[in-house]
Amino acid sequence: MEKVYLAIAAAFSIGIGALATAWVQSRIGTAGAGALSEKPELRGAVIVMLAIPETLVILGFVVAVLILTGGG
Amino acid sequence: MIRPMSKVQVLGPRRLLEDALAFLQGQGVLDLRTPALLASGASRGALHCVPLREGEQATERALEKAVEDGEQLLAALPAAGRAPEEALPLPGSPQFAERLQELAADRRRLEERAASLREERQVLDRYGRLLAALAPLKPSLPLPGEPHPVGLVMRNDRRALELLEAELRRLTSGNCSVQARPAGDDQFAVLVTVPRTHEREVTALLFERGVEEIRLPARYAGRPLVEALRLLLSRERDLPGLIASAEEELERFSARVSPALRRALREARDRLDRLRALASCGETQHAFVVTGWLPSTRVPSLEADLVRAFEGRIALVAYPPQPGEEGDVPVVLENPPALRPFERLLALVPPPTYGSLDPTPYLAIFFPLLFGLMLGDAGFGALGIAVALVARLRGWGGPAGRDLSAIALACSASSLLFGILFGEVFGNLGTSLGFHPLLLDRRRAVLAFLALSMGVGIVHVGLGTALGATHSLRHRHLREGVERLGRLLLLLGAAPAALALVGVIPRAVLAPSLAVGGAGVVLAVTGGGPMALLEVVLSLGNVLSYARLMALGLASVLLAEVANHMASAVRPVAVGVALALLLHAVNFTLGLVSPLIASLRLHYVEFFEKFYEGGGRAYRPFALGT
Repeated sequence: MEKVYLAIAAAFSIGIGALATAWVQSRIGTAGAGALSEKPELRGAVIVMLAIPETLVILGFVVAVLILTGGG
Repeated sequence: MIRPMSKVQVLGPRRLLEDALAFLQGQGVLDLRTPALLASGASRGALHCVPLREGEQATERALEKAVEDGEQLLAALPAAGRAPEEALPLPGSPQFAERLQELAADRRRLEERAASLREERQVLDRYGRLLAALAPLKPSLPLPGEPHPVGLVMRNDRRALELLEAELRRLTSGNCSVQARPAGDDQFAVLVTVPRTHEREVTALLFERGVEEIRLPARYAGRPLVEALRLLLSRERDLPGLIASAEEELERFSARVSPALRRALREARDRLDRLRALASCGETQHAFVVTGWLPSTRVPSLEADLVRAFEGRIALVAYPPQPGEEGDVPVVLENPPALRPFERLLALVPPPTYGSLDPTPYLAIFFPLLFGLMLGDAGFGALGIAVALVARLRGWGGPAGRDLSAIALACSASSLLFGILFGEVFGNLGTSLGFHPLLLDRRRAVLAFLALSMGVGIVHVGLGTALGATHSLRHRHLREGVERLGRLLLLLGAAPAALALVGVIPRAVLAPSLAVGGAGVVLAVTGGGPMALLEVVLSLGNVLSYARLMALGLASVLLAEVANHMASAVRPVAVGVALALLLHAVNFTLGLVSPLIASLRLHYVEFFEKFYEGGGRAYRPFALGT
């Protein structure tokens, strides 16, 4: 039973992180596309901003790995 | 490194200003600036900005119009081969404007002719069978009146045809005729004849009922329908030849005009640039001054050329940038040829400020390193090297493509190297080929891979912080330097402390490490105040971000493993192998894109933040157009 709880916890860890990243990227993507149509020179800043929330899902993934491997 | 720049003032007699500007434009090295004394736009004693005289203003307007009209004409011309060129008058002159109008009219006429022929062919393509069916019919009215024939396309439905006929009889009080002939399996070609006095009501009825009327090309307007149909059908055979000849004529016109027009536009833009450059110059009653920046190494040659060209009547004075002028100095990066392609990666962020650090050498080392750590597959690495070499040998994408292929080559070589260290060739296929992990097995030793990623993060962020601290201290920004030094100490203390805590290194290291970290926090707070604590936490967050190296690497290797598993699990074997190849292709594509973006992000967000000072001005020399 404990394994099931661990699996569910790991799934929540990465799932919520992924949802949060998707939501934030959708907002940044929309705003970024609008900004790029006005100022194409901002493409670097937009790419960077779009990549920033990825950390949420990455850290969620790391936590999931730690949960599943027991941290050791 | 950032190339040293000099500010120069070119001084000479006022009457030579235009010649001096033309000379400087030809040299193409000086990034012009308004003299500092005149920056506010006001005069300083006898010195004032050069105003454009009435004639020059008129020339400027004429040149702007010539460029605008010429660009429009050029954009409308098709690509063409070589032909004897047309000689055009001087851009900006009334003769040029007149000739441009004539050329635009010629182009319009040629284009309209080709378009009209193409329209005829389209009508024939669309209505060919219908026109052939309609041609033998004769428009006639049962009662007196001028007949007005209308050709229609209807689906093969007798009931709909009867209803339409009834409506038309009601509208025209019975004075109409409807003749239908089948055209193919599913359509009727219908010739409706109504009195000309009822033309509008009938058109409105057809529109309301959604009946498709056969529209003939504009050149047949005014001709009786049946005559127009016969004429159109008779041209069916000639049309392809006529269209080809019209298009050829347009191409010949383009070949004759485009190169001359392009040259004239370049000349017009150069003259326009010279006129606009006058506004950046200063003058007195007898002298002029042109100010600008150029690389210091180019100063002696420019000075010698000026002296030679103007026989010493024009002088050049050069100064090094003064404190406070950094924001005004344009930035030119200068790196060894092997590192130069990586300057392209800086194109996505503002250039560094003059006097700050050029991160290109660090990018050239760490960008491929991080990329290779993520992709880490000898098979994909070798594939990447092959693609990059082909792109380089074939010269895809011009100079930009050459630079990008050099970056791709470095990244692929790094992937190949890490692939050997991880024992991966297209995932776990390497194991069956005799490859074994030399460093670690990414699929099994997930936590060790995470630790390696964090270690790389500490080195990378630490290097950035060290660069920032050195730069601050060298420029006597003591508080900032001390704060950065504190953050660096914290990183140096935190890493062994964490390793000691998880038992990788002896626990005896813990206390000294914590002491170093604590000293770092104290230094950071001393230099940056209480808010520096936030920066300290953010530094640790920067390191945590390198966990993506492990996450993306693991995703890549597991996807490759799934692809290999598919080849052995799916039957028949050929389908399994095809699916595996497809999945490997997807993985290879993802393996190129994801690590590329992640590596860029780690540099821009985590590494550059520690030392990079963006906001520099790009170097835009006053030069002739190419």
